[in-house]
Amino acid sequence: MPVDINGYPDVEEVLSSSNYPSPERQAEGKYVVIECYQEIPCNPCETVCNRNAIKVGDPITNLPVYIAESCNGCGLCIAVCPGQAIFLVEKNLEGGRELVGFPYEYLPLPEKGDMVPAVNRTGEVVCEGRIERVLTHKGLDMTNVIYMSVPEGMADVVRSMRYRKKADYRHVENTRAREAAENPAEEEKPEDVIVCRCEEVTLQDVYDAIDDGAVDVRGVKIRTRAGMGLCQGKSCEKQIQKILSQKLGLSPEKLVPDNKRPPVRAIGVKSLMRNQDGKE
Amino acid sequence: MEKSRDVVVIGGGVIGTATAYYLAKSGLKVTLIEKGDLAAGASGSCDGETCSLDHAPGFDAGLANMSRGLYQRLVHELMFDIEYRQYGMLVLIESEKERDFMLDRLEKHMRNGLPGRYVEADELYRREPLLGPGLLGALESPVDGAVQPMNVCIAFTKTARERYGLEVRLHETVTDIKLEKGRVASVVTEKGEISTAAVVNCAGAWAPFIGEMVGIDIPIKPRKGQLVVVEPTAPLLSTHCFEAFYIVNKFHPELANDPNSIQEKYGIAFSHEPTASGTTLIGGSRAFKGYDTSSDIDVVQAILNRAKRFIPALEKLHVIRTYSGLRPYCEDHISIISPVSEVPGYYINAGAEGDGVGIAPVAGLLMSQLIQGHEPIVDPAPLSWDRFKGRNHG
Repeated sequence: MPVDINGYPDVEEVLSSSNYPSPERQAEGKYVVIECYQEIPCNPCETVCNRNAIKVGDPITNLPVYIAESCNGCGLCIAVCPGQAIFLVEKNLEGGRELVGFPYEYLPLPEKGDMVPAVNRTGEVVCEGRIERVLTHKGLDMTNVIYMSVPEGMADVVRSMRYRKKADYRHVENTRAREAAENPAEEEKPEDVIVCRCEEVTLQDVYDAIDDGAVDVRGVKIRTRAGMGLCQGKSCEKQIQKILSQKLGLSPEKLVPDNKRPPVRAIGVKSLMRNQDGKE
Repeated sequence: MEKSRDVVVIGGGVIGTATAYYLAKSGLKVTLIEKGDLAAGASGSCDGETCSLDHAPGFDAGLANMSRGLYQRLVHELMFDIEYRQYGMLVLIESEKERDFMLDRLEKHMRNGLPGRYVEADELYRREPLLGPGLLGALESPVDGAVQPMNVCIAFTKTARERYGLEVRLHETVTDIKLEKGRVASVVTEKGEISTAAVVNCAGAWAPFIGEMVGIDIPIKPRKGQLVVVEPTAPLLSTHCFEAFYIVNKFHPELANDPNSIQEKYGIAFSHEPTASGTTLIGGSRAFKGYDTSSDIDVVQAILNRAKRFIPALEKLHVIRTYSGLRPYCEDHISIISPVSEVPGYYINAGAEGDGVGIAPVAGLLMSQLIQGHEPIVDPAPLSWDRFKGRNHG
């Protein structure tokens, strides 16, 4: 199955699943599509459903079984699924459109009426979607659910959206969108961008170090402390390499790498407090 | 041939940058050449103590104390924060033998004008509750402290470059020093040749290679020292601390308890430095391993085992890094800060072993005075090159 190879199913695989509702049930309105293929110990979908429309049972590693006839399309299971593997679909809306509901944990959130790029299971933009509802209430456990209408035939293809800056997708009649369009986001100032979080070193500090003669990661490090903190450069070393290569016009592999010193990650002092023969 | 410079300084560690700073500040045209980046050798892999009580009483300790005074002034002179902290220093005493030895030294230090006192055990534990049990007391210097050595190098070069026209050439290797009629005439690098009548060898553990270029044999060799960095916390101990054994062992190894102990094998002695960023540096070791600077797990374990005796709470924390550097060991434990009589125009400022950070300002100032023929800040005789004359140091 493609899901075993790619890590995501293709459309045919989803439609041919025994969990996919019958054409009769599809005609009745909202239903969910469960794209769960890994036998992991997990059953929130079963416990959250108060209509017993999803069964996992015992053992807990069973794949969920969907009883579409019992489902009213409330969508609670979409937010509660830790794997974000459940989607809502409703076909035959007005104007031949279809509805797709999906979990969404990024910010900023869209608003009703936004026209956004809709993406498929691999993240490719496949069509435009219109935001119909944004569910954000507390019962959803911090996972928001977005309802989006898409052109006919796309509800089984679209699984999320690409949404970066509000102003990009906002309708002109939306006041906030107009404001955003008139005041484009300010370019971030180098002194406001943190490069090394452990030592709170900013992009401007890194630029200053390069002006002072730093030509490699260690040069930036001794002048700014970037990489000397708790994580020892695990977060910032690649960033600094990138900044150096941009500023100096060198490809990153031409830069001298930083000295690697043990331990690779923070290690308990106690584990090193042993005699040379290994005894404590 | 490039433009002529008054002095070329070789080496971008604390000694080289201090020397270049004081020379440039006197109005000379100075070029500093460093084969790597600033603080690439021992100055970037050490701790930052600027203490006097760990030096031999008299001239040596006086040098360190004078340097500390200069650091206090440099805090205001330099354009970059050197993280100077005057938080005092404690020498921790475990045995009566150590106590007698240290009290004798304290008396000598005080006769030479250094402030210090003996702290009894009850006061010691009141002030430093995290210290492990069983210590007899400590020697305290209220005026000692620390700097951040890498910042010192940056501060000296940045200030000298922007205010006094110092030319700093990093990532450039000196390949030869040319003489004319026996006098220094130019310095050759992979990128060119600089005409100069004076060159200062501040290459630390690598000073012998710069000596070979003019046919002299400099009796300095690399002595490896390892340190362990512990995660940022509230300070474990409030000041720089080290064990009296460090001094006993450095000056009188015959007083050490057991010559076959782990301490002896790896030259382990406990030291503790709280840094400005919240990490703690735990030391240390001393060993002759050539130019190898790899981290040795046996030594790290031995350092931490020793540290546990002084700070038991350490075992609840994490090590984030270990590092080692090459201290420029000079056979008589004191720097060479001197002209070389047989090669006019050639000067050496190297060999401070583990005290380079502590004495850098006075070493730089003195070197600058000797080159210009000014009245020296201290009697240069004990630091002179001539003390090796007639000796075979092959």
